[in-house]
Amino acid sequence: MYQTPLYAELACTSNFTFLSGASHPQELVTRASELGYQAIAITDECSLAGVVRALEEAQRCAERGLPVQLIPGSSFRLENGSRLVLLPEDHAGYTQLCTLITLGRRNAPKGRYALPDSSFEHGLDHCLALWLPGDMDGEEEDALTAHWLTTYFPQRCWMGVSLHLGPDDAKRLARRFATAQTAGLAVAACGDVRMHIRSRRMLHDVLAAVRHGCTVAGLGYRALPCGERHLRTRARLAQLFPAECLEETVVIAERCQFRLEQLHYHYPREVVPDGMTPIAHLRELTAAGIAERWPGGIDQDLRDQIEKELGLIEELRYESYFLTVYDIVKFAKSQGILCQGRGSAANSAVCYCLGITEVDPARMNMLFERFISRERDEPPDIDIDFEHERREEVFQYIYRKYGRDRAALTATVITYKPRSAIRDVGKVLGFSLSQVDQLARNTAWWENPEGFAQRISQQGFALDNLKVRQLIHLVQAIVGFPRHLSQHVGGFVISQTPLAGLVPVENAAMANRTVIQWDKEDLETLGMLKVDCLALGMLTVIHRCLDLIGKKVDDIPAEDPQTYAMIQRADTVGVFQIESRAQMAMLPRLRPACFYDLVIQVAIVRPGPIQGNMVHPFLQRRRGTEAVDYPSEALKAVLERTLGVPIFQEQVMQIAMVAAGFSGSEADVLRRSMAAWARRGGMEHMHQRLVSGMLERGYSEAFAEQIFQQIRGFGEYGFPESHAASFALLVYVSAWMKCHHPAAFSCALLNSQPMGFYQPAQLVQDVRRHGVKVLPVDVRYSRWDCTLQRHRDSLALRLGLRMVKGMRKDSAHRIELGCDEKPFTDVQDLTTRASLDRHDLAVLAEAAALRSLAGHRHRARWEIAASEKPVAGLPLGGPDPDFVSIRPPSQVDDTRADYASTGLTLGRHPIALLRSVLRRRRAITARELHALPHGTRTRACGLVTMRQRPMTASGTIFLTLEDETGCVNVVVWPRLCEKQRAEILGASVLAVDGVIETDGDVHHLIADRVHDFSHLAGGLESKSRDFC
Amino acid sequence: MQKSTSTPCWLGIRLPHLALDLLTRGQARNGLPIAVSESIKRRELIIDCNPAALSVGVKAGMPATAALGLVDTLQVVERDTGAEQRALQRLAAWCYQYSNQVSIPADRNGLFLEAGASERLFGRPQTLGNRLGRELGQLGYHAMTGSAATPEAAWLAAYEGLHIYSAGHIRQQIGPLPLGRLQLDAAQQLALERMGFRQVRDLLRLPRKALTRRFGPTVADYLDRVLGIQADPRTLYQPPETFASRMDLPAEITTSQALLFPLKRLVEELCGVLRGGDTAAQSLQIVLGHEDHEDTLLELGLQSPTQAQARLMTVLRERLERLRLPRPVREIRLEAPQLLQFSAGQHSLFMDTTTEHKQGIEQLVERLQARLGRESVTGITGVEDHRPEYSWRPRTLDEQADCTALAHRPSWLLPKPKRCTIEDYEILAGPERIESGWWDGRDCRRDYFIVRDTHGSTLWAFHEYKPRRGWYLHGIFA
Repeated sequence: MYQTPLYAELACTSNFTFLSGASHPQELVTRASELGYQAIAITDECSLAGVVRALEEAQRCAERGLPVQLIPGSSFRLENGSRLVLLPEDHAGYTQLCTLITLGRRNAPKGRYALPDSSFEHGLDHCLALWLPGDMDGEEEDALTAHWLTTYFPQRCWMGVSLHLGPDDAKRLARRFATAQTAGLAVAACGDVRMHIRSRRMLHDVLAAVRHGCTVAGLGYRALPCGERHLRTRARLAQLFPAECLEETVVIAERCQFRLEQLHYHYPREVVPDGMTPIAHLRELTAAGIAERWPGGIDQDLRDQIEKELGLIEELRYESYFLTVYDIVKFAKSQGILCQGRGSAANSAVCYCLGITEVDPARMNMLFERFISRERDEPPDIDIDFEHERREEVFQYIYRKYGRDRAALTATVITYKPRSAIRDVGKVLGFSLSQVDQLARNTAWWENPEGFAQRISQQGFALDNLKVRQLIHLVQAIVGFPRHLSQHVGGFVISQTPLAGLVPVENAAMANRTVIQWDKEDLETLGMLKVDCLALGMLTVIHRCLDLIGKKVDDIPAEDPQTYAMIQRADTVGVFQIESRAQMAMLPRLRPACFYDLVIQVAIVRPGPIQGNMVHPFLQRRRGTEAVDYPSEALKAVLERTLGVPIFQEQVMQIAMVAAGFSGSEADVLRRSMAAWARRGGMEHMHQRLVSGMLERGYSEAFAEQIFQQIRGFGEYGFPESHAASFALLVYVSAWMKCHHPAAFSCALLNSQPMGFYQPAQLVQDVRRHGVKVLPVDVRYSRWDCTLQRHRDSLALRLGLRMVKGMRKDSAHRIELGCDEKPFTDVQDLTTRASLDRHDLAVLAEAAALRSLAGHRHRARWEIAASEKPVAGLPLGGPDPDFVSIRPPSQVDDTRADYASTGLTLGRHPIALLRSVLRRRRAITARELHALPHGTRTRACGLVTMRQRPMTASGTIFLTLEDETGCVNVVVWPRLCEKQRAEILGASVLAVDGVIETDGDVHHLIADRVHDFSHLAGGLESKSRDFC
Repeated sequence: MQKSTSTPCWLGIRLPHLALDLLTRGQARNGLPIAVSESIKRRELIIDCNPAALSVGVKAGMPATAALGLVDTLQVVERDTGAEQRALQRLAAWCYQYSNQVSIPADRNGLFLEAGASERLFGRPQTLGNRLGRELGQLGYHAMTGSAATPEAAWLAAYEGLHIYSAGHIRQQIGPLPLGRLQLDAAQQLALERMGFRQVRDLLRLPRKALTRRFGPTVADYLDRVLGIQADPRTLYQPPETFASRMDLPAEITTSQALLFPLKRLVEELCGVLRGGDTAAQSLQIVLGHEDHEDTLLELGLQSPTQAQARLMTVLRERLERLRLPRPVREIRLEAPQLLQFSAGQHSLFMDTTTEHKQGIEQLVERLQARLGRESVTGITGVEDHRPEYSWRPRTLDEQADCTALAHRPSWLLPKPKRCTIEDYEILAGPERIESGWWDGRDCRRDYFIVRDTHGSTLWAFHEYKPRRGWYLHGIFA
């Protein structure tokens, strides 16, 4: 009986050989398993970036009963252009391969590699070599290479022959056999695969065209001649290859005994003192922490909790991880760098004891399983925020302590997004640049493909046009394809042994940064430690503000009523998290009055609760307009603190535990599959489990479904309570600062820009509304940073030279020094003593920072135009012999110049200057608008200070208009956005006709029509912060 | 009141929409929206547009993509300064009918024309200015004119249609103009405005020394030229009518073939002038000077006027072949006695070719084409395409032939694949699979075989799966 021969594919290029392979590694693995291959090797060029994804898929295939062996390998181009595939035989071979890739990658700029042939001659004795001769080389060249291989890979090398129905396969095969025989090489069949199925040929050509920077039509012979380089059926291969070539592949695969699962990652050891076990050290530190955190001792519950955590940590052997993080935090604290753990780590009492997090577990309902669970079998994830301007010190400490060979940043795989996909695919299909721009400009329609087609036709492209159809098809196929590796925002991998033995390390775009070839999901899959060292601007602000007011964090009193009163008024510009428009709109409704209210406030304005329709029920219950009830007594315990409405991720998990009988770890699996649900689907079994579990426990099906629907959006978009609590701490601290020290707080905010939600102009407007005097930039009084200065009887905020556009820090420093010596007398004195050049003087003049030396801007510009860079020892030209009369700038000119240079004005608001014109055009002020009743039709006009198009709002744009009396919040529905795009996105001064909607203290203007009034302001360079 | 006609009086002709005019000249009055764009700091910005575009909100200064977003039918054409320069040359020649003192300024789109000398013929500068404006308008150009005693003042006057009758009035007349009208570079302009100067008179008031100290001599010098304090000599436009050039030969030339090189240089120069003036030559005179002997005169005549160097050289070469030199040559003069209006269309077939071999073929082709008709004689060239029927195309003979054909393919392809029955043939090799061409809508999927027919000829046949199933014969191996 005929049997389909066994086969292993040993050379597959996935899309992790960027812009080459036309299939995801997962697709290749799945297809190989469906075809019943023995094994599949993912062999991207000088890269292992795709192998972990392939591994996950191989594991899923095994679960489905179609196992396929995964061989992680890599291919390399030899000097003569032929290729060499290396497959590790065992763990040692894998380490050798990683080391080789690291060498090649570190030798070359980001994205490339450089390996001379000699690098393959040593140190690869645990790797098998499969040589793929080039088609262009002569027989002599081939014979030489074959000889070279047999010398350096004795008994470990094969010739790989691929047959893709080329011009004369029979002849080709015969020639290969001849070469192999002479050299004594065995021949193995090889697909040299570029895609998992034939139909990816189009995409393959597109990728090649992007790589070569030409159109697909211009590819010529660089296009694939045919679609044969896919994973072919074994029956088909049997027709093409002699049986022994196929058998050989299986022989090779069997010799590859290494599995990625065997990788054992070891935590760094130096965090444990000599002669101590990690757990003993951790226990010691925890005990010390308990004594410090709770001088009065702790109750049994908490003691049990800590004991339980330590037990689990010991069992799962995560001690060193905690100790590593502790060490980093200790360093930061020793340097006075503010830091705080965020995320689920705040669910751990041990983390609190170690000083990693700041949320007191005695005050919170904690769910440790959210942080570490036995079943999940993956390391906990501790994310720490550091002051954003000092995080680099922490990075350097880590590099110093562990060395660059043992510490590297995690990679982030940059993938094609709709916009970049349209650009690249459009270009190679031959659309003109302007057409591509036109299509790529707005990709909000991406959510539904029919919308895409519609939009394309609206833009004047014929839908039945072949190119347009191809564009739609190819863009959909290419989205999600990796494009290149970038560095993760702050995820460090630290290992006891050199990283190159675990995963290849390559250069990042930033100098002196190295990244590993895997991203955070890959690390999770393999159970590797990652410490996220994130940068948080608000910590910088808090530190600066504390320095200004001479206090420590601990000095800030808890539960200050004045602070809450301010928060309830939504007077929160600059305050952490609750400064956004959506948060501000919620504040007067929720009226936070205690710390826990802030925790809820932070968590509730999130896509999860909003999409789960939990906001309104919660508000109504809080106002008492809806009765608070609980489906059961058991659930009451879970939901009582949020009035029966689930708001936090932990509650979702607890509902599953209490109402459907999930274990803590299972509940976490539920949460995680919900996160994945949005992307992949496949929630059916969980749904089934949850609903049946709830039915068994006597809940109604309707309630079960409702819970399921409610928690669906939570996985990804909900906050864990622990995280919300960590953030709420920063909310409270920053709000307290704003309430009691507004000048210092704004000063710290301005000195930490760019960050947060508002432009400096809005921050300054806000602090002035709070009665703080703001003094302009002045070269005689300003430092680089904004400062607090005594002005008459109070403390005023003096804007710093950093606000001046184009100001260089070193010049500012010289000005500071000169100023400290003695006051500057005139422009010449300034120029000489601070050795400023024309550029420095010009930017200072533009900012009107020379006002006390040279008068108004016009004169300042006239003066500095005559000044020359001083030549050592020579006096300057001196003043002009004839006095020239110069007209001072008008108020409008000055305002415009203020905005152009510093982005804000301390003079009259630019809209105030237009007020009489606006009156004639029937536009009212923000203050007047807020006094009008609900439903009134009116017109408002102001500077556009913010545009926002939230993900959850399906195309609606929120605008903020600022005038001299305050701000108007405008809502623009998608239809109007389409109609008046140019005005809405382009105007700096906008008038809006619309209807007022009022809910309590919250006012919105729903736009019917907008008018671009920018011309009235005559080219004012006011900047809007856009989140579209 | 009018000054005597001997005083120079310059007419400034501004062509502010030249770039757009060149695009819209051929268009009916209410045409489609058209805009001109220019790449400024790596952004494509609209610099001008017609009323149809203006009416839908296209404005100068907006990014081209934004303009395209406003109206789908908008045609955005990138500015072509070369074309503008050529247009100015043509218009200068055209203006030549009114004055023999025409000047093309290097730094702006416009012309200067001395109108004082021709006042008796064409009337006062104002009259002539209006006439030019009207007539240029009929040619499809927007022109604005003004006059004054200095070219630069005339340019400023042209903004307002001013006619300043004496040098003494310039200061007073241009004083109220906004500063932006002055021909200063953009940085200086901006700097002055930012010092609070708004009108030309603000600047005229400043002490020269203070101004020079801040802006160097350029601004002050320019103002002096405007006012006529400093002379402003202009290079006058000279329309070429004939071409004459000569060359001394450093070493005597004894063979007629050796004359080719120096002659080629001269012809190159001539062709440059022809292209610059948009004229063509139909006859050339070449004079070869000998020592102690009468000059040799070669007269070349062509069927039609040409600018093409290759064509001139071909004819010249033929002529030289028949030439017997009486004595060595010491000097060559080349003259084109008459430059004719050039009619386009003569570019395509003859362009510069360099090698003797090519020229040989060209001559052959010229003869063949003469006999068989032009269309019947073409070359072929390879095209990189996996589909055999698209892997070649006819080429005009002056084009380079690329030999990109794949070695294993037959040299003869049938004009169209012919249906066949595979059973008639013996298969020698194959299949070679070709799947390619999806991008132009003619994607195919076939397997090619090398086959032998009963007569022993080796043929190329394929089995097609897509778009039509079946066996076809496609080529013959030589």
